[in-house]
Amino acid sequence: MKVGLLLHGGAAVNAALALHPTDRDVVLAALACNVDVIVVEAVAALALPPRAATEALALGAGRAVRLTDSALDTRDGPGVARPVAELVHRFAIDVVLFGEDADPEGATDVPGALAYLLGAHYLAGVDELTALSRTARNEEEAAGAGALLATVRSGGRVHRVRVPAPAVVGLAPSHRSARASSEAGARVEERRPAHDQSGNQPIEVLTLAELGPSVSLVRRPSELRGALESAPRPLVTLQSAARLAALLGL
Amino acid sequence: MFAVVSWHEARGDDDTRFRSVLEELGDSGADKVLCCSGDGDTGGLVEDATHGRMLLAAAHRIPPVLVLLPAGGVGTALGPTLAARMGAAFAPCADLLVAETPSRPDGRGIGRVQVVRLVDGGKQRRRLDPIDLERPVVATLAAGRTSHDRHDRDTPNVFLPDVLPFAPTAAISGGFPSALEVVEPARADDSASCELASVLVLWDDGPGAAALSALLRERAITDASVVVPAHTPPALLARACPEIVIRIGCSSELVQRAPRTRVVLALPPGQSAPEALLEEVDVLWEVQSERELGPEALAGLIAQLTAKEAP
Repeated sequence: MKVGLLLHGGAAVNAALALHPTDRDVVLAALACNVDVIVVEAVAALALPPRAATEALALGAGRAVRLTDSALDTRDGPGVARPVAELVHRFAIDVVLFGEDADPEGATDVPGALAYLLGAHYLAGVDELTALSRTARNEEEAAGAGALLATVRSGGRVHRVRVPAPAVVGLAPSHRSARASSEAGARVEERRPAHDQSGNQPIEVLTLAELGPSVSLVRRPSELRGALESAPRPLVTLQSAARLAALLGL
Repeated sequence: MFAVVSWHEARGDDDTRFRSVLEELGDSGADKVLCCSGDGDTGGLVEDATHGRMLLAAAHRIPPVLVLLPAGGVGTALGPTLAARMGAAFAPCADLLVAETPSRPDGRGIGRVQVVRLVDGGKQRRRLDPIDLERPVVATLAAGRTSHDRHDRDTPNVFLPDVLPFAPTAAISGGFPSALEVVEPARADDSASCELASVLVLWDDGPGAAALSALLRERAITDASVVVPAHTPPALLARACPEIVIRIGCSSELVQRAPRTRVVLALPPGQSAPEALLEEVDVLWEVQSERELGPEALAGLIAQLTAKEAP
């Protein structure tokens, strides 16, 4: 199974972002499932250093592809998702993973649009990702080795579902997972291919022209994320519960 | 305002329960209820594959300007794909406001419902006007408290909205992913209540939090939830978007915030807050005595904050 890690935040803010902690967890979770990880990054300017992709490769991702075009400097989720969908097709990626809070603006419009364009399942709020073979209890389950299982919290219950392909899967933030991440990172380090140890993996670069979708389908006049304005939040200091109740009461 | 409900989940075989759902929807402002009769039991699993078709069918039947979903719970699962299918903008953890200034040079735009949400760590916000955008907006809203003046209907009796049954399969065909394969029976999620709480207390003190939770249950205060961050799944906390967050001590756990969300840092006597922490809070409560941070006093405060009737 080929798994892609979607890094679309750089396009959203037109900046060279470091790998988000949740994206880091996503890479480690995927590697722990013994799947090939391809980093898919969309950026508006090739001049931006590939910090996140480089960090993901250093963690053990097998390959990174940068999709770059000035047209990607847009606040239009479906516009960015369209060429990413082409890229997912080209690299035959089965499951696209993303960190739900990794976008600098906390929006999941690009993954949602990507699922729609791919005709794929969209699974959000995934707590944990495991490989089916690890939990196989019989031959039938073992035959499904390579498939991924997702733990989802929904409707007041915890569900375990098989991740179908194609799918776009959002992993929930796990900010307390630093220790678990480092443990998983150590396991991944042991089995990282020799060519990865140098840290010099090439990052492929593709442009919109090479992928196919028209620039006009990516850079559209609408700013679907809305107009930006300041939001002053003055700090209020008080000393009593009564004043707090008066301030915040209905 | 149309509410969309799944017949199976709202009614099942229990007419009394269905009526109470209708009463609650009518009380919350729904004029009509689109009741989907086509979906079966999904075992509590709410994902695009289980409920996306129903929502899209409802959007086809009554093309909306604005679709509202809860930020905690189903909003993250259903909102992004619904927006993509409708060609709509998606605004997570948003609030609604009515424009007070014209958005156009000709003075038009006052009184329009707009959608705002915070970005850049709360320092800035984005504003979407569905009319200016000429597209619908799918927004997820923070869990808010019910205001005193919600009973503004003409009739003092319970308002029951009209029920319009519909079947998603008749309106939507093809293009949807197949059903999800559930590999083992679902188990109860004990911490799930924090996702939809309008007042969320984050308290590192386990025994104190347990005592406060017990008091809230005893007093039937259901809008509030108390969690010990270290014992709560981070995924749940990260999806919660309450109207009021009370952080006791210096817990660094974060939840989502909408423009209306107010984060209170309750600082025990003698403690000072790190500068970085103050940037994340709106209200600094310098507690004068330990007694004010006892379960009994906090339960009283939360009762005041969630009171449904005017004092």
